[in-house]
Amino acid sequence: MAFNLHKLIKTTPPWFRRGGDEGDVILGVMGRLVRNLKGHPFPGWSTADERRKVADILLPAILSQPGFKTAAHAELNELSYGERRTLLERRQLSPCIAARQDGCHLLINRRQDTVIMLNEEEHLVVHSFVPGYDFGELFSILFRLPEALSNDISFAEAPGRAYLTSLPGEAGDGIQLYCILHLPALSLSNMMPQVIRGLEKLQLNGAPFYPQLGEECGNLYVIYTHPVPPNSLADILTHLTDITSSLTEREHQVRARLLELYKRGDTFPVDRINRSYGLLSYARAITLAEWVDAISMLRLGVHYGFITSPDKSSDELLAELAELLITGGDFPAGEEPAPRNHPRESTAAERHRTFIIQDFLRHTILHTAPDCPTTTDFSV
Amino acid sequence: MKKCQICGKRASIYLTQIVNGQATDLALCEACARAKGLFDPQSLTFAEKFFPEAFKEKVDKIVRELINRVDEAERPAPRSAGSDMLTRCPVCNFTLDDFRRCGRLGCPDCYHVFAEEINSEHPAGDDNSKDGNTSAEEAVEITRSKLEQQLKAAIEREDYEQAALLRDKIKNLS
Repeated sequence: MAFNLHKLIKTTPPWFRRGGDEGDVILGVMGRLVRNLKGHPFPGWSTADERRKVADILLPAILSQPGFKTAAHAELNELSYGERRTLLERRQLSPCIAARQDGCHLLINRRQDTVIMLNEEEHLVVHSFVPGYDFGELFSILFRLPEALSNDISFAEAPGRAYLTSLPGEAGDGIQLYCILHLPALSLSNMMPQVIRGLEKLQLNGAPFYPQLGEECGNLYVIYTHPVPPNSLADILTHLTDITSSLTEREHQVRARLLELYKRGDTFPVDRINRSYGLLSYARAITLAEWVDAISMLRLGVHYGFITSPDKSSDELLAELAELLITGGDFPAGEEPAPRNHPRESTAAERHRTFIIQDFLRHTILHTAPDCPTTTDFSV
Repeated sequence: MKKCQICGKRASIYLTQIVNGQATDLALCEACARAKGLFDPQSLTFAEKFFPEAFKEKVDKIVRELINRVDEAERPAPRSAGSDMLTRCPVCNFTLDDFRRCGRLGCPDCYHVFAEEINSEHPAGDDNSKDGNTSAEEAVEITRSKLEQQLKAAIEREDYEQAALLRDKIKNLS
């Protein structure tokens, strides 16, 4: 029996918790795979009846596949505004389907690492998430369902174009790759706008992971490919691997450079790390912007060895902080946000974040005077 | 004064790419450089510095395109669009004007109905792959084998710093 999507929204997605060896820069990879059915109008040009027909073909076929028999599913018109908002924030719903109603369906498997949307921009859209730079695992999850479905359902294909999509320029292997990177040193050095412009010249895109918070917030970025043209998945993957490796290497160089500056007497970025530790330790309400910025600095502190834990390794601390950073201190929502009577009144989510982080910080130690000279000597 | 290698106007952007020890000069005018995504000089320098290998590939690609363009110019011109081209898809009633306005299509059959219009904007690739796309496993394997070749070459020329980076890439890929 399928479990309830409304209940699922009230739990934190566990897909990220399996991590541990994702490293300190690349936090995870995501993939988007699209397919369309032959002889049916694309969702952007179809009526509710036509969308229902497509859903009637795809839904029973998906729910009979192993791994999806117990998937949570709902038609979009069954979800409230608050639930859609939560799913959007968790990237379990894409913006173009969020406002649709009849004939559009959402399915999330029990592990919550795969999200299926029916009648989004295309008939079948599969999103998968994997921690670390593990494209082998991502592809095995992402392709499993369409490969199984292709035995009974014929997807729209054309010679020379591979899988057809509503935008002719996007027809091809029907896949798009995303990589989530934590780049605090490059952000602190104001290099990210240049990096993103540079990426555009190389047929890749870069964007903040939390676009609603502005350019710099969280130092968390998504680098993604264009939809892959026919038969070029290997080339695109090689290209993405090259670029992310270059970025990781450059991030490490800039981190080392910042540490070098600190050892020469510059308080930056240790000042930022300590301020963030203080904010997270003593605040009673933390906004999402403050949260992602401070958690990002905490990860940098763990990387430098300024923040340690007696019972956890630095890799474990980095993995836990990565989860907190990506989920945004996810508040088990699902309801409409309570209206604020006063602009300075804190919301339940802001208060909830303090419980999560202060429980985490209880098991950590901030080394306030790491081995480097202080800039000001007050002893006389 | 150099001329743009694409349109023949006065060139304003010059790139010199060294491929296999041979210098290849690229001269483009502002409009063509913008069309090829090479205009912004600041980000151009940055991309060249930051992602040298990827940048080299991109310029190589443009050079190859220019060479292909010369080949194509020598061929007879393709047949122009006939007046009998359908302007409405019989399956979904999507019209050619709709496509021109929004750039999207109504259904998979529109690809056949508006084939000429679509091919002029988005030419189809080679049809030598019959049924298939590169499978995901193959993509990972091809990437891995390419990286392994680069690793072998790096070890042979005793570039251990590069070799360590390539080793990490291979490790990450699995």
